Amino acid sequence: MNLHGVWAVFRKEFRENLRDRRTLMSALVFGPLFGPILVAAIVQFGISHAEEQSDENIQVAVTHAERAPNLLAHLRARGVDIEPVTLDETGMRDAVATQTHKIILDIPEDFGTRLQAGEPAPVVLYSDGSRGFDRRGVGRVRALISQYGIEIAQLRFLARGIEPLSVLPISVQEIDVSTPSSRSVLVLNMLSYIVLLAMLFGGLYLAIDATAGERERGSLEMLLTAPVPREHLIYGKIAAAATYMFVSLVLTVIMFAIAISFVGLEQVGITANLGPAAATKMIACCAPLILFGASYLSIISGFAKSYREAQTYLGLVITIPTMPLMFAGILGLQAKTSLMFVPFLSQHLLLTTIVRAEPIVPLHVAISVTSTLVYGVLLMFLAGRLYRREALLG
Amino acid sequence: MKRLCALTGLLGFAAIAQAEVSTPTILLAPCRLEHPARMLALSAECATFKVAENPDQPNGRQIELFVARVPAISLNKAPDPLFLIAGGPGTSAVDLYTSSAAPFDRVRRDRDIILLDQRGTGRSHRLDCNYETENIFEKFNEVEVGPANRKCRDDLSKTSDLRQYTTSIAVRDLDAVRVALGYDRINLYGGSYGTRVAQHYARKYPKATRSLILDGVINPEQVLGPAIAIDAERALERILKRCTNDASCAKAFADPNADYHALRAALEVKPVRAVVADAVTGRPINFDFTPRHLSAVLRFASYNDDQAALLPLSLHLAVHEQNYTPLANQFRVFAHSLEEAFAYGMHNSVACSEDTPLIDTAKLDRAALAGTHMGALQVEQLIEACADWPKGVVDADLHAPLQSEAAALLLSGADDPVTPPEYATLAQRAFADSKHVIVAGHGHGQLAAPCVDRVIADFIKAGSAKGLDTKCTAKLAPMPFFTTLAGPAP
Repeated sequence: MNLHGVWAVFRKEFRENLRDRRTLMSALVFGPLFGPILVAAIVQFGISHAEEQSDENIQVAVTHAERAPNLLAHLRARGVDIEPVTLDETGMRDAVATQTHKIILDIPEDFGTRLQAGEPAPVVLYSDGSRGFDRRGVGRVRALISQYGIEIAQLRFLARGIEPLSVLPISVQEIDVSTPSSRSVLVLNMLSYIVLLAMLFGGLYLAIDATAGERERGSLEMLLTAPVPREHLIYGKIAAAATYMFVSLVLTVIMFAIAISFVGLEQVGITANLGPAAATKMIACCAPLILFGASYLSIISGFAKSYREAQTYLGLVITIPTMPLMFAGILGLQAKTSLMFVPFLSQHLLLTTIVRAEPIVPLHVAISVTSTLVYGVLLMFLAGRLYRREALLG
Repeated sequence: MKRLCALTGLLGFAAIAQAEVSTPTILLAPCRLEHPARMLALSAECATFKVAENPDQPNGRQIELFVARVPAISLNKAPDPLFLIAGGPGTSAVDLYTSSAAPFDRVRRDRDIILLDQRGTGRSHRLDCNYETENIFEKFNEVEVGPANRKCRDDLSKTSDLRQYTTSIAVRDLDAVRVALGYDRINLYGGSYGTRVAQHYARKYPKATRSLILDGVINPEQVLGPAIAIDAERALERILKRCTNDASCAKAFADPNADYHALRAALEVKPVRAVVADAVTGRPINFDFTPRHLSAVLRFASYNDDQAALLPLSLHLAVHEQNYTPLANQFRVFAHSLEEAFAYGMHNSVACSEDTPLIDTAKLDRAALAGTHMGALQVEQLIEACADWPKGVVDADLHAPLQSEAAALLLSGADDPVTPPEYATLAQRAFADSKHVIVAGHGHGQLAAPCVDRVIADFIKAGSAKGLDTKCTAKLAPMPFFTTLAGPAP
């Protein structure tokens, strides 16, 4: 096989696309930058929101604060800011509905007498359950009030000579064998999906431009008259698309590692295994996919008559290889030998294993890499055959 | 001359620390740590670490120390872990963590937490002196502590050299574990007696000490014993005063201090025959409630503001309604929990080596002691219990003033009956970079107090007390007093 032709085409495509802002943007900006930053931002937002909820003082309006000074002192010591208000029942409903007050604690008249009589002493919490933020605040206030109640109950038992622990005849000891790293897939479940998709997008525009685009411009005919085997032309184009995909893959993984390092996952008992070693492993596991991806996209866009038509097709078909990932999520698939023969799915399972900081089975990697490369080569030859057909010129 | 001794001591330790670099590293394996009352279990990594019982005889008897690591959440964890040191002396660091893990959750985000059961406690060659008794209430009335202690000494001596369980040797274990786990510097949390261990560690291994959290502080110069009855009495006075100053408490009980003195006087004249139901089985128990039982309740209820909240009511019911049930039950709970938690043999090895030898019985302030509910008996019993206990290894500088570069966070309860805030004020002089937080109305140990976990985490993160935000501790308040058996005023 004369590789000069392949090399020449590769160089031409690579350089031309380097000058093409759209290709550069999709390869280097949209996927690699946007995806990881978006994921990191969403996760960080959720965490800092939860942290704020547990750390920051909650504002609670209280009616008849004079009826429960000790209860309110307990709440104040635990980060609740009390604002005494005077409202009747309708007033309380309106105030919460209009968000004048987010949480109102109403102390009924008989709270004190019932407490001292040893009967359940009610307090009433008003909030708007449709507002998620307030609901969590209400949950915290409720927990603090219950905790105070439990403390009183324990001392009641103690004074009466009942062992406080005797009201808990059975204790369920829960052992969670997850590790902070393995739990990270709970919030980083999108990681492999975004990495693989960004990788495909990295080569998308080059694949379209090199086939459907050239056809539209009429430059394909010229190219096909060049004195090299036709399939070598497409191999060169595939190689160029694959190169862009690789760059995109590397950038996406690095960006993920950087972006996630800014997220305070530890606050929720999670840590991401995304250091330089893990990132290198991830790139190595996904790299074999670029040949598969570039060939796949070149074949699909080879069928399109115009640039726009190819764009429409590819926007849809680009997600097809990532479909198995969805099933993996729904079915809770674990890495096992048979699944390593499925491209994209095997990479997803390997990435998940790396993020969980669990040992990777060498056999799995070997099967994933080999099978993916074989499929890639087969697809590449298929692309070559398609290119040899005259029909290509449309 | 004294300084020279201290210097040679330090150099000696440096040599030991170097030699221990070659010890095999600790192989940790996944394990389960249980709450002392088995209420919950936590996942951790555990190992046993063999050390020579007598460090001067490395080839002599080996004992196993129990070490657990609760690993940091973060993979990018800080290089300096937090070691927990429990109080007593005689309680377990593992128990301390499992019964109050939540206060350390924030620290754990980016730091390992290391639990080393100090030798003689927990699962580290525990030195127990527990003998089955049928009636815990009657047992407490025995005034003779000598025979029981001698029996304990003889039993334990068959498998242990009781001189090797002191603070001075425990800090060597701590450093050996630090080295074996591969840490250059560590942070230490010490509670109660654990503050003595932490400060002595900082003295002996200044380079390895990054920061200290001292909770319920004993300053190094402090000799435990002579002041226990006096400090406990002061704390009780403060608690009863708090009731008098509280409108609902004063209304319910008029003069709790008068109740206290009336009850003490009445019991001195004649113990009361009391019948209580066993707290677990509900079976009736008959016993004589003596001034000693009362003293134990008053002392241990003052440790914790929750328990203290019952005191005015319990005293009132006993004096005015001859209802001794609340007092008797509080006693039963304390006696039971102390029995479970304490390794008395280890307690004696520390107290009888580090404290009682320094007590000058001639100088005891007997007049002041006579005014307290514990009286002189408490310190006399301590001395008696120690009379026949082997004197252990004590570094010459154990009680010397400390000078430390490490940052220190000191925590005190304003009404602490055993380590009052004044001790922490004295201890604070050792540290250039330090902060002392006093929590109003609280007793001994501040781990359970809300917001203290955040202060601790912020302090360790910064490795300095400078600019530490402790504002939230000003809002803390003690449990309100029970005014009836149903509970506190609303």
